[in-house]
Amino acid sequence: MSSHLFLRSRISLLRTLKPNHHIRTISGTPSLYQDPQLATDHESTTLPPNPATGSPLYQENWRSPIPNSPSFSQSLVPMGFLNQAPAARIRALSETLDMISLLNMFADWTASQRWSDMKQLFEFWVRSLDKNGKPNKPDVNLYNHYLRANLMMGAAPSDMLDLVAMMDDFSVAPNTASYNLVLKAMHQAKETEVAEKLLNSCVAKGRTDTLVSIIERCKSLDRNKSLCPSWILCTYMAEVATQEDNSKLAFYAFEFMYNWINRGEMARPSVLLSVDEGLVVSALATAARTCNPTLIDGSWMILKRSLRGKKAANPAAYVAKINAYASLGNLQKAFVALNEFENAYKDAEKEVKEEMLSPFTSLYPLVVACSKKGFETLDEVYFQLETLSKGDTPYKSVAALNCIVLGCANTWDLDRAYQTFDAISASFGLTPNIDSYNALIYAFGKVKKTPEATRVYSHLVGEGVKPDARTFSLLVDAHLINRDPESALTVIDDMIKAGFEPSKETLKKLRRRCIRELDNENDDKVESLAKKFQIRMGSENRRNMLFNMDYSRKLLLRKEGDSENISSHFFWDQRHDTTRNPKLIEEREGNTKMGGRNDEVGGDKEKEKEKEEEQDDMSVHSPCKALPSSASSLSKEQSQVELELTFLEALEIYPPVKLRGNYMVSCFLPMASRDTSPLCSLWSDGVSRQKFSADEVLQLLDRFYNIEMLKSDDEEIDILNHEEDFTLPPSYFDKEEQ
Amino acid sequence: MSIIRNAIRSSFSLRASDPVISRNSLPFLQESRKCLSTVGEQPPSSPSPPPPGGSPAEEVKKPASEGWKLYGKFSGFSKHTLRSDVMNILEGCNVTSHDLKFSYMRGGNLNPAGVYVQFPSRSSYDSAMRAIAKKGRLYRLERATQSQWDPIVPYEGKVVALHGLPPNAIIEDIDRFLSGCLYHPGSIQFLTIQGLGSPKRVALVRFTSQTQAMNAYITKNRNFLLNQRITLQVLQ
Repeated sequence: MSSHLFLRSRISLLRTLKPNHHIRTISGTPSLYQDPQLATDHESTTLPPNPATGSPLYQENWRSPIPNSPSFSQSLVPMGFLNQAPAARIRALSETLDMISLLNMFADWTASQRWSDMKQLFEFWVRSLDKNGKPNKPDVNLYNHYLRANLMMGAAPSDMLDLVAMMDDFSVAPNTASYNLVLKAMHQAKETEVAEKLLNSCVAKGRTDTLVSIIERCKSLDRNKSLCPSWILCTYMAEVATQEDNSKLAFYAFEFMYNWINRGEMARPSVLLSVDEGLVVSALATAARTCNPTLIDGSWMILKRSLRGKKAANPAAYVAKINAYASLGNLQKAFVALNEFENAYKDAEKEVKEEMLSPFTSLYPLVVACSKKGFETLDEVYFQLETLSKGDTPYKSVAALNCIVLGCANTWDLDRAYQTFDAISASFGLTPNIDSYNALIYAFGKVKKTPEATRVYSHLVGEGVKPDARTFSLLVDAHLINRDPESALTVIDDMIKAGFEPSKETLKKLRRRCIRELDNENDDKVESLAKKFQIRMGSENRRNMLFNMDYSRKLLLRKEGDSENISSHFFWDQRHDTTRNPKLIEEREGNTKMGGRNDEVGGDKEKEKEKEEEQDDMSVHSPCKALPSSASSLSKEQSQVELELTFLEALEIYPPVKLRGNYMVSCFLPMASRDTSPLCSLWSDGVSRQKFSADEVLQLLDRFYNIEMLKSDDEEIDILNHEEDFTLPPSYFDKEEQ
Repeated sequence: MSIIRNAIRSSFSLRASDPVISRNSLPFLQESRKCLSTVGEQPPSSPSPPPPGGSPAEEVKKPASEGWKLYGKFSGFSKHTLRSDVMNILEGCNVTSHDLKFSYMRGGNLNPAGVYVQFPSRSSYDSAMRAIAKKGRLYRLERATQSQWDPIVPYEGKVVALHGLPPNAIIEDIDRFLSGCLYHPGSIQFLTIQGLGSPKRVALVRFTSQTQAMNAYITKNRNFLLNQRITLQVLQ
């Protein structure tokens, strides 16, 4: 009761001192006990946290000039004359030494095994101030010396653990050496339970590397007997390890679990423990990412142990194993794993088996590994398979050969792809399946041999092989590479009739080609297909950034010295890309410059236009001609920009490579006499109907191309302008006379 | 016996110290504590241990259109557990893959709350109980009702959840991340789940088959999307 009164009086005092604080009323019920609190003013901002960290001394009166060390201080009554002098000397040392000199001193004392002095000096030192007036803060090495001193003085493992926990107060993270010292104490005391607690704490705090080192230490000390975490802990360790891509920890976890499985079976009654296949798949994927062959072997071993030979492993486990060996580059083991996979599921349904063994999806990592060094690796694998097919236990696999065919196709090696395909039946005596044909179609289509790709399709249909969705997609790709959207749409119609749906990727490619070809009719068909199958094709923002350009109408005024330059910048088309950071877009608009642009007044006319044809028929070009800066009006500049834009779009349809000599001029010459251009309707769109002379057209062309290469000779112009009747050569008449 | 106890000893301190695990699997922890406490009281050599938790033996028969079925809830699985793993445990219980439905917690990291199983008969249920005992009593099976079974939409191992998405990720980014994988184009949907602290965005993508979903998990897990590492989880 008196405490209540005291607290209430304290509250009233505080109220008088700080009248602005709103004080909550306290219940008057005597049976209720409440700690009176001052309600915080929610409108005021709290102070930032105390920046002083790194020493527990900050929690005490560390600024007092009187050294305050109640726990470490010596008794006022000297314990003995001999003890007093060393203690005072150690205290004096603690106030003078810095961390490096202290480390050196500890190193000397370690050799002379002055453990108690080390312990005492450390404890004095951390409670002393350094030359800057801040409490001394040890690093991990210094603290480890302290731990070692305690260990050598016979500290219990629990005390050692407490000392390690105290490292957090100094903002020092324990390292492997710290835990080794703790483990040594545990080993001396034979406390395995404490070791498991240490493991628990490490796993809980996510210190997987430390956990690995602890386990290694335990294994080296006790020969795997003293440390054996529980099954659930092992499972959790494995999950954490796969999550953090720590393959060593995952392996150790599986090792413990393997031991538990063995012990469970030996127990009476037996306990049949099993590891989750999903966890093994995850570990195999971790092994692939970290390229750790030990984890692959360990994972497979425990999987086999768990299954006990009763059933085959999940197909995903096989695929993960093949993926792991492929990432390691161990093709021999990868193909051995493929053989096991095929044998395990040889009785599965044909469609299921084809999907599991498809080189385009499940076995694609193996395909990539087979073509690592191009044709060298492909040939090596092919000849190995050929050798194995002729062995005592012949190994013949369509799936393996399909991987090689696809690998050849990926590297544009049509000859090897065809030869391997042919060898499936000729050399190996196997029957190509749909993936074999798909890979061959892909190989032909990739090098623009579209008629041959179509013939392969016709052949497979004739052979009675049922095409799948990928077959049609690859045919569409072949036609698109050939810039034939019309035929590609025909294939899609066949695809739909066969009961398949076109994928989003296929329709997007087709739409892109239609836009490139300005084929509005087929573009509309593609849009209707997308609507029919409820496919949102989205936009082509990123691809358009490479291809489309919109001459921005923004003009940037810039002063350079005494003259004002009006320059125009060419920007990417930003109209559709509004989902990203708008600030970044604004910065880009202000700073982006196209290659070769010249900002100076009357800049040089440079020819740097490049045009690349990518595999999907995307064209990239970047005009680099700088507009001559002029003080002309904004409208003139704008019309000039529009004219050049339209001109470039027309050149996209009729690329200069195809227009040689005077043919170039002849295409554009009618512009001089007619309002509309024979090229396309674009010329009449957005461009003022004005007559251009031939020289004006050539001047416009000269801004983007080396006109010398396209300039027509006078003779060619004369030839073009003069229509001559056909006449036999004079030599013919001479012969007749003779 | 001591080996069995050691094998099934759960690390309570471990689970409690990890806030993610403790918060999301708290019901499991409590259930496992009950399970272990019950097991400790019973001798392991008993041929047919009684149901855990002391659940009353209710009348099982529930008239349905196709015959009565018994429903149970399996708990104790991790996010890596596949349907085939549950089938391995329930070997000999006359249960098919279609009789399993995984239920996921909406909070945290979509950890499995449990697996609802549809047993064709009481003997099948009892066989499952014996199988659990035989395999280390690491799991818990308790009775469930049809009202708990019906609403669950099975993912069938074809849906993959993408964790760790940046806030500005859009469908095009997911398409680019999953390039080379066979999934249904319009199936990408974004979820916001309440994790520890700030809410998290998760994308769910439906693949054409279980094989394709696992292929995506094997090849795309822990890849990068917009400079952030993405974790994949196959929803069973």
